Amino acid sequence: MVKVNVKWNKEKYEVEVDPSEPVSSFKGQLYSLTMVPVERQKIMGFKGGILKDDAQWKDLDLSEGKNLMLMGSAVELEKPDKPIVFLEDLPPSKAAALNSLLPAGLTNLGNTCYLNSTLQCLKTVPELLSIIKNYKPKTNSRYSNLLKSSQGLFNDLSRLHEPVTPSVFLNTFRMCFPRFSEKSPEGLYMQQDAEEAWGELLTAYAHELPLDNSNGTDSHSADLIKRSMIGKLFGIQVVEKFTCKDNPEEESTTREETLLKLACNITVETSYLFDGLKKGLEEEISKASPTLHKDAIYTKKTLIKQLPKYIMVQFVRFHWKDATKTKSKIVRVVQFPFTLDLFDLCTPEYKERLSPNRKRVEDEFNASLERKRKAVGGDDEESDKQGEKKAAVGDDNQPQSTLSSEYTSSDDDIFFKENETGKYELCAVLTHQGRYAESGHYVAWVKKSENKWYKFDDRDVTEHTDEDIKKLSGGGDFHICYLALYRTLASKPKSTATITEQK
Amino acid sequence: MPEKEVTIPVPARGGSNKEEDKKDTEEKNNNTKTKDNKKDKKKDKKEETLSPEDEKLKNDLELLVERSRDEKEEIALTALEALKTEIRSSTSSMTSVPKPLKFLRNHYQTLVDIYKNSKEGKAKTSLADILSVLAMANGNDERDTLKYKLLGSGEAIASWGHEYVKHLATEIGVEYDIKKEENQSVEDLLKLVDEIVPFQMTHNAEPEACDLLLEVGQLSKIFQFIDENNYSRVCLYLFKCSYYVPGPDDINILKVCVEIYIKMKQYPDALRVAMKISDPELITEIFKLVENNKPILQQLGFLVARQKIVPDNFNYDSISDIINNSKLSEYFMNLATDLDIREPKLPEEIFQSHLDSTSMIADSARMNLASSFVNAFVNAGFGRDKLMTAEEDTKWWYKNRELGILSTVASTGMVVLWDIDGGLTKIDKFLYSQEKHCSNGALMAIGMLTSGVRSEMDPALSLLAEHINSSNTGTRISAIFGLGLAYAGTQRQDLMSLLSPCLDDDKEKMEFIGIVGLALGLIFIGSCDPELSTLFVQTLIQRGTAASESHARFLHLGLGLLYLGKQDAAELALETLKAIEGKGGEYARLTVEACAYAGTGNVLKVQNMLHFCSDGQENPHHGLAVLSIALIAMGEELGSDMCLRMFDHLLQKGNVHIKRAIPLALGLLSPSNPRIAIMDILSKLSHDNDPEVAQGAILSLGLIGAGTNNARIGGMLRALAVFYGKDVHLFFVRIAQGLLHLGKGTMTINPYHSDRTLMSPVAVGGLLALLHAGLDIKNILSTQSHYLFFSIVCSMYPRMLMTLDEDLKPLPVSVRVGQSVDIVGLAGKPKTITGFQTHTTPVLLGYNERAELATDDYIPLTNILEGIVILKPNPNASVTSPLASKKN
Repeated sequence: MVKVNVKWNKEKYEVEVDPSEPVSSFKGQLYSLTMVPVERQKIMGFKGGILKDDAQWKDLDLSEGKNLMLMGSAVELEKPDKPIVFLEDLPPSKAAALNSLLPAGLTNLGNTCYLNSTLQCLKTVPELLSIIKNYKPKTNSRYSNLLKSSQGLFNDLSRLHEPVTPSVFLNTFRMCFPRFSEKSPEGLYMQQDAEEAWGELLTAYAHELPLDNSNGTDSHSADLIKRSMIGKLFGIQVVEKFTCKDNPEEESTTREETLLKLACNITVETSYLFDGLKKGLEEEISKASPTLHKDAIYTKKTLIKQLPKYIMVQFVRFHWKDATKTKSKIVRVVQFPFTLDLFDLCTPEYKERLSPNRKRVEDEFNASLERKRKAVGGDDEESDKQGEKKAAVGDDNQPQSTLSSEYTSSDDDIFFKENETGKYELCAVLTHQGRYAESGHYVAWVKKSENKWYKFDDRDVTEHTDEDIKKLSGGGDFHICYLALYRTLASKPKSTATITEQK
Repeated sequence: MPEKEVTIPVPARGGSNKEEDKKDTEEKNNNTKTKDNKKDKKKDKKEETLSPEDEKLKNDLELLVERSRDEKEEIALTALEALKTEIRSSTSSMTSVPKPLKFLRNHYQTLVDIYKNSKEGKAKTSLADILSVLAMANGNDERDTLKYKLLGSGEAIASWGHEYVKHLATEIGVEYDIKKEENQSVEDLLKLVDEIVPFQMTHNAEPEACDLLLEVGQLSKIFQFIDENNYSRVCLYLFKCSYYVPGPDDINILKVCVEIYIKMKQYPDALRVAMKISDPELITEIFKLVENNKPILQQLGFLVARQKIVPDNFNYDSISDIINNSKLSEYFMNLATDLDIREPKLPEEIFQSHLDSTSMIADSARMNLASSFVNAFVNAGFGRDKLMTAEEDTKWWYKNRELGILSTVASTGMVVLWDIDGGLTKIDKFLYSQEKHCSNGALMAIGMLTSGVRSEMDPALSLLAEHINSSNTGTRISAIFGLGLAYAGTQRQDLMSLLSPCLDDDKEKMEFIGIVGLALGLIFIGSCDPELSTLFVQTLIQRGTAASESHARFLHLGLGLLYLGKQDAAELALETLKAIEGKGGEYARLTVEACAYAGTGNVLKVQNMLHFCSDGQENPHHGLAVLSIALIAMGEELGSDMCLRMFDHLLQKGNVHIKRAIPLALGLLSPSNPRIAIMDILSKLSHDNDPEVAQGAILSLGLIGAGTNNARIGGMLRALAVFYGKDVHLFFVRIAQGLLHLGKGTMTINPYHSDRTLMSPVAVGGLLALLHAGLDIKNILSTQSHYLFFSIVCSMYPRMLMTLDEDLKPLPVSVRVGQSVDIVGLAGKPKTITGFQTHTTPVLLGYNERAELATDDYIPLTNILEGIVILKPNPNASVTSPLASKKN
């Protein structure tokens, strides 16, 4: 018997070697001590490297108290279940998408930030993009060229990740709306009001995108909007009720109208968007009274008859100052919510229609809260997050493809589905920095995913959070919210399914 | 009659009252002078500057000169004596020539004439004495001081003050050279030297004494004058002198240093100098001297372990643990525990990618590979990380591709660096993988793990040897590279017989041959082995055109490493290399020449390289020449500063190959030493349009900051990571970030240690392997052979000061750590550090920092507090010292 010291993994064992037994029995001894499988034992310390199984003890320099080292472990190397896909293996386009590259910005072609930011805001409406994409040019129509150039531009914007130069689009835009080619005395193009550009664009689109082709083209403009795809997406159908103030006896008249925006009038008392909106829907105007046969003061009360999928809100910050002959800006802080509820502004009939939906959504929300509370492990949350992430990844590409397919299947109902709860979420903000409408700088802030926003400052695109968006409510010389685009608060697919069933 | 007149002027000097009077009159004079200046500048100036006092002195002196001409010898003699007294008693200040000397200037020629005409005799020799002194102020090149000194009476040299001695010493130096040239006897000079040196040694002028002895080639005489008060200054001065003395004199100077240290029983210091000479016999001799003094022996052990060499012919069983670095891992972990940094870090924590918005969603093979490297660098030596050795298998290695897997698995070796006992088990499982790259990586990891650490079990050799002749080239490369890392600097003959046949393998490609060459070069670094050298040259010749392939550079480098720092010993190899035609031969010659003179600061060689660079052609080897300049100039402050200036010119005028090499050369100049000047250049280059320049600069930013956690470089790299978000550059940014946090900021890759005096050849080898790979960054580092990043493992060492008691148990004491001050040639005991802070060991030391004990309870066994230092209790410790140290 020869005693040897075996070192293994910082531990020391004293092992007695019987030189008459083969090497394998020594390894067996070691196995019982260390649990290292015999075939994975590598014993070092003898001359000639690792101890081999067929070695004879007499050939080795075995001696009392010899120090040996055992290397080996019982750990098996595991392979993952599915192979890893590397970024480098993917086609470049997919790789770019996965890499969460920033979307493309737009080059400023000389005071065109008003247009750039407007376009970036409109780009957040996938439905609009898809109908423009499917637009088939008609001859002889006024805005056909504009539509065509929009097609190209939006296509570039959603495909590329480098700044796009919208020169073609800008030219056709100025051709269609000569007032935007106004030049300063120095011969430079001047800054314009983004809201006006927005309005003109939508009207032009509406002109070219009627709901069905049967309708004539030269009808009343309000009708035209109503009967266009733009009207379906953005048009707010309202009922205007005129009551004569001077002659209470006079019967109030009503008129139906389709608006493309809600105005938020800002007075000294306005601190919240909703206050401003309410004020905007109740105003006093003077018009000829049929009963009094003279101009009289009427109160005009507007109520919403039907809500569209998207709502644009304008903060009426600019007002004409006679003194300076400029449109100057009100910088007052007006808080705008991330979710907007327009229920209170609707007609009683429409409210009735909305109520059941609202209640259902609320119940569902409560139920989900309950579920969450029950699932203490928080697994739900995690999976939710993952889901969100996936959604975020796909954001750039998926909606378009699915939506366009939907559109081609002419399922207009879902595509232009109106708002059913009166609730909206903020999806884009267009801000203005500066003191006058005709000067300063316009920037678009577009929501990407939960707590993630893109800021489109002409060609520079940066990422921001909800916190940064909250800073846009005004009060100083920072970017101040001028236009806000709200979209229908997405409800869970399950609920939409039930709605269609009900229908 | 004459006596009366003679004695008059003598006592006129001195006396406090008169001094004051003199000042007064001088002031008055100044006043009048300014007034007079207005009237007439030129005319009055001369006369007015002389006070009546001076006027008198002047007249007296003139009288004395006149009298020394006297026929009567007696009168002349008295006059001369009076002159002598006058000169000696004059007070001199730093800024002005003593008055008597000044006034006698005009009469110097007169006195010379008198001397020439006077008869032999006492008066003549006395006059010679005076002339000798006066010649000092007369300032011509004739060396009259020396001439008249030799002609003079031979009175004591000290009688004229140290200024005179200094002057005399200078002239002796010049005269000695001339006489030697003309084959004249220098006996008289040497006699003078024998007189001067003792004077200088006893009057705080050790550097001058050394200079004089060096000039007359009599350095060994210094032994007689060495005592415990002046030996350290003498040795320090001689040591620094050796940098500026051409070989072989520098070796002789250093040998004198060793002898002095041995005489003064300062064995660790003696060993350091002996290692500087890298003379194995001398090293063994020192070891033998302290054989019976265990603590000192252990301390010497730590020193050679840091240099990673082993003394020959010496039975060091008792300190084998130390010399084998077996406990290095333990000590390092001790440091880590003390600094509370044992917790593993993820690469993301280094990247701080949450701060920028370039988050990755998919797995990128390249980025994962970068993360593997960073993970290895950051957790190097800690034995634990979160990717490779985590309890819960993260399968991280699988998130890499092909060669990426190789490097990733190999990185495990760096994580468990130096820890043979614990580390092998963690690598074991990878050995059995079906994936070839994985098992190959494990082989490399085993080699890396044992880098610089030896064990009697020899695990690396036992485990790797059988794979060297595997059928798979990748396996062979991994095993051989692993062996190269593991046994770098050991010069083991069994490895030579194992590896050298591989060089002859005709079937293998250049990559394999290159790695074999590199491994052999690392193992036999600085050995000048003639057999290997011949083998290398033969292989180069056989391979013919293949020898100019990119990977062939490692074969050349291997040959160069054989002669690392050996200067003239490489001449023969250089001659034989001339036989090789073409580019391959050129690369080899440049490499060998540069390696041979590595760290010597040899100006001639630097100039050679510069000439080569400026031939006006586009030669890819220009880059190598630039790197060579840095290699030759490194480690010596003046030289590296000159390098910076040269590179400035080259950057503006040089071709693209030069530009690409400059960042790497800068990295080599100051690894782990983030000098602001270099940082700025690299920062500028990191945005260069040429991708290879930029990548090299980024890599070098990592090298100069390696293991320092330097915040400035960190900021730069983070900015670069955002800037290069989508480019290949990002890979290098990540690597640099990893290097910056090497060992979580506890390690250095600078080959210089022991107060920046000693160069560890193995460490230089590791750096060179990486930088040569960097010369072709596109084909080597960023694509196939990224495992070469791991060659840096040879250069890694904790930058710590750890104190042990005589039983080698950690002994925390308070030390002052501060910026080191250059005290070479300073008299007395100047402070060696400035701006210090007091810490308790173990502490980290920066490149320019020095430490000293803040307590006198202990005496360190070595004078340079660096690495691992053994302390012994101080028998004369003051009782109050604990309090005193607390106050600090």
